Amino acid sequence: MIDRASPILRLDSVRKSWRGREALRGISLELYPGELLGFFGPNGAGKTTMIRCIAGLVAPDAGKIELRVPEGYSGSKTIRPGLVPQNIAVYPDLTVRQNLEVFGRLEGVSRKLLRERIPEVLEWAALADRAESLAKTLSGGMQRRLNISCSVLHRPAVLLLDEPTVGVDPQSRERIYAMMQQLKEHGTAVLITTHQLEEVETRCDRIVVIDHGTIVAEGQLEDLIQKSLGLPHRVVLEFARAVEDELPGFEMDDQRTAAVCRLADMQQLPGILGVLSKLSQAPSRIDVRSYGLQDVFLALTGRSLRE
Amino acid sequence: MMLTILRIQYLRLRNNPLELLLVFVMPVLFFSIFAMIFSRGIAAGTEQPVRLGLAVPERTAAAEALLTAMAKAETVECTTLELSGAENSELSVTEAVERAQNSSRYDLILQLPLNFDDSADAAARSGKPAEIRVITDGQNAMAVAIVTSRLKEYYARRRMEDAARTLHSVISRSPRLTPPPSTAVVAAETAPLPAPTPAPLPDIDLPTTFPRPPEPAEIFNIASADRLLDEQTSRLITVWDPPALEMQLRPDEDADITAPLMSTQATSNLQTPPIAEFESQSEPDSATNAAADKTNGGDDVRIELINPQADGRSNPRIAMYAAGIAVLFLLFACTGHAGTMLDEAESGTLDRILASHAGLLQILGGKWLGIFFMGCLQLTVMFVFADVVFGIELRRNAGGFVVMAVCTSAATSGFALLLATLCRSRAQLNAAATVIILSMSAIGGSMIPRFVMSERMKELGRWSFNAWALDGFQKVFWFRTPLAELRAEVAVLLGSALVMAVLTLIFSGRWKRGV
Repeated sequence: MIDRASPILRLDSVRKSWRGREALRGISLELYPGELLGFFGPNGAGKTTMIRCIAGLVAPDAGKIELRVPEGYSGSKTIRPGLVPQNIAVYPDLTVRQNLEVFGRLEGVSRKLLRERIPEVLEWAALADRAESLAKTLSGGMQRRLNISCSVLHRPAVLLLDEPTVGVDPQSRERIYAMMQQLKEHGTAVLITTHQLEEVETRCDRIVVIDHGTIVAEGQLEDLIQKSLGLPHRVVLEFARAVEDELPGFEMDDQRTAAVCRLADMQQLPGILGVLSKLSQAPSRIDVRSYGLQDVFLALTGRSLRE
Repeated sequence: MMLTILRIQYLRLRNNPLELLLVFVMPVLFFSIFAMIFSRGIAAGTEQPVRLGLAVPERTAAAEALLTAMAKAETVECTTLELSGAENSELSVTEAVERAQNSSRYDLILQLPLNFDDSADAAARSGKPAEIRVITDGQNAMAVAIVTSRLKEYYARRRMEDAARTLHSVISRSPRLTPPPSTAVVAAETAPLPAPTPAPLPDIDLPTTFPRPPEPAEIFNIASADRLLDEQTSRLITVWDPPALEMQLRPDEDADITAPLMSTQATSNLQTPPIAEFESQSEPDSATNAAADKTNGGDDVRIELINPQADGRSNPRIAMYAAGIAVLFLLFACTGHAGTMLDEAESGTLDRILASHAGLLQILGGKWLGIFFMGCLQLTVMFVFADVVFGIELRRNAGGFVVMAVCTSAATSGFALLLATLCRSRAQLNAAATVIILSMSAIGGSMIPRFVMSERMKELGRWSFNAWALDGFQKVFWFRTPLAELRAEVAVLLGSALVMAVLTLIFSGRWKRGV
């Protein structure tokens, strides 16, 4: 349940440069308790720099970052967020339990509290039966879950995850998002950077698209589509040779071999397709589909290769 | 396909400057270091004179003659030690010798007694031979061999000249063999011998091997006793005393050059001139022989080789080897341990820790402590093993060991962390560590003992931890100096540890920036 009464994290015109190159150009953002925010952008867009700023690893050159733990939050009252790095940032030659112990202690959790928290976290991450295994002997999915578990022992109000599902199988991915869901239910705000479009589309409550250090779009997928592409569905007709007929509602290309029609609602589709019966030649290909995040992403960031 | 594989290897090598450094520069660097050490250090007998400190409480005629003879030797560089207070004091001489030993400026110290007189008359009067002490710290066996050989040569020559003088005296008493009045037989080496005559001189007709020194009666059949000149004397010495000359050329084939002589025996009189040994074995069977023996002084000089460091110890040099090896591996182990920072940075673990309660200072402090304790433990294990197996007397020198182990580990930990902070990856660290540590170990004495190095190499070595650490361990286990004498090593090692800790803090900001 997202509590939009007051943000738990607020970024206000944050700027950061590395060796004269601006990585963040005035990022402003709010994150609310219980919200899962997908942070999305091409390589080198500034995602990692922003996460490092939020995590307190680097100080921004300008702007403000505020972390405010809401009253009544059941977890840690510390203002530091939990950080889950992109790589498996655990000690491979320690057992699962030992990793949880050392990272719990580093997060300031008392030994006594850790004795309670570690079994809970092991259950939460479905790692209880591998508690005494060395981390390096775990599967990729298990290592990912351990990677996340090490950052939630102190129950942070904000959890930052950098590509948490890279290289894991669908089952583990499901489990990881189930873990995120549970965190959300406890009021934890979760910020994820990922390139997995499907995950952002289906799992995140809100999407932020960043490019060249600037937020280029923000909101739910429908909002983004509307802002970047207009209508959410499209019909594309392709012809073997130039069409001389008029196609109402369609936009023809210069060669008149392709026509595109955008729809606000799929219920409009039968009416649009009805014009095909009046054409002098049948289309060689008909493509009907709804826009997704990839379309939004390409529309916002362009098709040129990045870093 | 093989060509493609070959090309891959070539491209990878070409694109990796550190690999190139290890493959091509490192061997050349090492060759240069060892070439410098071996050409200017170990060959000390040929190019670098033995540094001989002279502790002479009184400039008697005998002392002057001996010192003049020693100074003539090109292979020996004589320096008279300054005596504090009154010259004629045993205490001032002892102090001067101790100071000289601790200064490490001398390979050997030659100590003469008060009222030094090496004549047979003096020996007869006192009832014991004059005693010359050659004091060594056991490090430079070559220097011992050179100096004792020189001493033996001096006394053999003098003995020969005495014999010649006796011979001349006998000849002069014989009407048939009266030498011409111009004949000069030199009595002492300090007096110049007459110039050799141009005509070839006949050999003294002696048997090639003598069970004992020839008596004047035995050499009566010489062709021209009145022309017993230096050339003949030299030949006679060669015949008379081959072991002495042989030792000069081949000091001690069986001895370990790096081993302290007399390591299991504190003092020895084995350096008694061989001629005296001959005489002690001979049985004078005539009045003439007896007179000659008395004149020449059969046991008039005793050369005593003293190694205070070997006193009561079984294996003092093993401690040096233990220190050398321990410091070398300590550097590698510490650098490897410090490299975990790079592993953690690469895996993101460092970011996770930095984002937690722990600050960078705490992380570095914890790492430093971990490396430091591991270093102390590693040194302890090495020395305990050396003590149990080789008997280096760790317990007796426990205080000094603890001081040196702590200081060495502190400096090494600082070095390792600084190096890890400056490197960008584990591979870079490994390559840099290999180059730097092996170079430091080579010039610092972990591979080749420092005492065989030239002064320049020794000075160069002082830019490495190894040299200071090994000098400290040497003082503890070899010289058994009091702890206060370790202050230079302690100051340098702890000072450098501090400097490197500060530099590490300065450069460690990059960990937070993630670069």
